[in-house]
Amino acid sequence: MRKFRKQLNRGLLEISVLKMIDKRNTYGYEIITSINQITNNIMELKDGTLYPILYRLEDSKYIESYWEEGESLRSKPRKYYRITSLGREYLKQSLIDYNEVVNAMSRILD
Amino acid sequence: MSENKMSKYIKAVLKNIRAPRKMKNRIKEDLRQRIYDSVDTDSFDELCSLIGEPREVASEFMENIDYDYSKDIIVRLSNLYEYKSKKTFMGVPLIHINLGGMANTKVARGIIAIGDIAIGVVSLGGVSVGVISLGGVALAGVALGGVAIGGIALGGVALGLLGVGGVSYGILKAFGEVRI
Repeated sequence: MRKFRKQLNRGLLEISVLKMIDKRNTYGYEIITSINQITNNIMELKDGTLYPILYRLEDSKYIESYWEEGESLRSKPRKYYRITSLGREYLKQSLIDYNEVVNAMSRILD
Repeated sequence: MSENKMSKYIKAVLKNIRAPRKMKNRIKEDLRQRIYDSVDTDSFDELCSLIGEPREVASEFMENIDYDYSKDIIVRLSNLYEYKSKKTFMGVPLIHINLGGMANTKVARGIIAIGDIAIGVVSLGGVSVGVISLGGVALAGVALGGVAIGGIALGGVALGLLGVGGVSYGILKAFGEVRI
């Protein structure tokens, strides 16, 4: 992946992942497939990128994980993530920051 | 997917990740989940094509995990380090240390040379060449190493005028378990 795209994605993916978890409690693989599907693989989210983001968000107490028993076809329990109230605040602020930057950038590029 | 194949894949990824044990355990657990969730194959190669080659997956993790590598002794040792003394003898530095460790292969040339590849009167390195050399592979008047070749050679495999080692060949004399 190009260096610029990679740097750009780095910050944006954190908001994207947090937003996905805000929409509904979810798990790692589902986040990867959803983001790649929604963005038509533009974000190119891979395991090595997603899990460190989840670790950062969890360590910052923006999300928390819990285990849920598997569905009938799945014998093993699955690790889900849910957003915390601190995470919601952080997401709200991040989206404000993001919109400000996007607006500022569009003024530069116009 | 069999536990065995899955463990083999995860192990291959973790082998290429330099991080504290706690972080590695976290990654191990998540990769296990990821494989359970998405992969319905018992082929290691197919697993590699679906998730990625272990080395690539590891490299992606390494790029993204927040870890202060400057505190990591192994990383510090593997970082580039070069020291060249100001004092020279016939244009050759008295001491030259040039280490690239796992990242690079660096050559040290000095009266005393220490490097991945060391060339000097006294040399110490992965591959060392000199009058007195110590290294994985040592070529010298007096050579000590895994493979030692020289006048007096001491090593796992020693070849020289005088060879001392597990497997030794000596033109004048050979000492060791297997003498040729």
